[in-house]
Amino acid sequence: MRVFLLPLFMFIFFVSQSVAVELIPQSFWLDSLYYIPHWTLIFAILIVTFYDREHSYVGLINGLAFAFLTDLVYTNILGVYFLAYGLALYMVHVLKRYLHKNLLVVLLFSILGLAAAEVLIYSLYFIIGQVDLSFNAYLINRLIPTLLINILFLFIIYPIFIKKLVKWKYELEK
Amino acid sequence: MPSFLRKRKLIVFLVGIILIVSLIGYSLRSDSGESLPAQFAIDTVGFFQNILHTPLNYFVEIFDSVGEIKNVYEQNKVLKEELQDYKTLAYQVNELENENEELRAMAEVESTLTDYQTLNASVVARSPERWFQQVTINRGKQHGVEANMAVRTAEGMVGKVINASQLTSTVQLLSGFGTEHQVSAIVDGDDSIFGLVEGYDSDTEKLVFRELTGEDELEEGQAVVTSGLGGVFPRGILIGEVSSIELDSYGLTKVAYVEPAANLQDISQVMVVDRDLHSTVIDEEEEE
Repeated sequence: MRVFLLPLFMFIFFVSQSVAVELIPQSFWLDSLYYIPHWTLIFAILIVTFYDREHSYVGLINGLAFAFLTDLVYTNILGVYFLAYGLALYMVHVLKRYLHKNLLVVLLFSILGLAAAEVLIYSLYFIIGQVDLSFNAYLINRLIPTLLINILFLFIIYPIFIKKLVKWKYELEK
Repeated sequence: MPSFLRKRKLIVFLVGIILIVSLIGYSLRSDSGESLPAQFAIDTVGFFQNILHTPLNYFVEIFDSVGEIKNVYEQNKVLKEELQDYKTLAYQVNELENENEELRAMAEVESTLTDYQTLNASVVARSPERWFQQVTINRGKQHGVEANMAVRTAEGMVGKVINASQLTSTVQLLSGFGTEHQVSAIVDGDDSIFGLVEGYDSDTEKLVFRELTGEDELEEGQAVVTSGLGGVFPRGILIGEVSSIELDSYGLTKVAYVEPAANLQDISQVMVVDRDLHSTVIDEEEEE
């Protein structure tokens, strides 16, 4: 059962981020500011930090699977999200050995992971020619709003999932 | 043992990079629809998007209508005035349509570029990756949607279908149009000015229209409509209004910036346009 529970939550976040973007009217935000929900990445970072042990890769595999689905369903170009999410999650996987696990550390991981993934996605699209926005405009109009909106999401799901993830981890170890 | 582990990681990493580069290359090359497994994935996600969208949309609409109640009185006054004009206009249009039909029957013209059928659809999701400006609609091949059909709202054109799955399809909005999605268009005036809508300028948030005829008759405020000469769209779908005119970088032709007529941020109901006249692009795909 537990094997399917985490992907199920991932899938719910995956679907709801596109519906959320469609339903929240753009006029609610400032016109030229764009925020991109990376909810699956945030949840995968939570799994990596709190559920995965030293040598298990549940978060990484889930993140990669849904990154590929994002590429397939939401964009035309396969592989960009796959690479960006993969590297970001692997970075978190390596870093978590050196730090204690609490909210501040997860916050740090999320900001680092998000920024790395976003900048990587931007540079890959820039190389391909999908995007022609200058880096400064990108930084102000997209990266910062994206970080803020996803950190907000982290604060919402953190209290809901954190105890469960830790509990499942110890149940698994028994 | 550690050296072996490190080697394995390196191999995984390198194979991953090669895989991703080839994937990106593959998806940049192929523009001929999605494969069957991809369609299945898109349809499955679309199904859940639809389930999630319907109740949420209901709540959003309730909030919206509460906000709108404030303006109802003012709107009602204006609308009543406009209704008077509308009645005479509707009568005139009716008259003209009948006359047009009779004349066509006399001239034995069966169908023209302006004739098209529409198919209503609702938008269920938007691509969270905003570089792409795509939305998902809840109609697909089973309902008669094909790739490359134009998509419009009541206000004007919003984009075109770039990928039709069995039950859902993906629409590329005008705001994501690049040089690979050129639209043959005309500027409505005394003499029609032919040209191409070449893409979207994300800095000014306007479409770029380049005239091809070379006559100096572009004016601000003129309407830009599809010409139907691109072989896919019907004639006469409103794209937008000319908001400013510039010489192009070579100083040879004029470039007009076109404000899209439809609101591209807030779209809920759209119409997929299928033109009556034979379209080589769409109909050949059907035969395959």
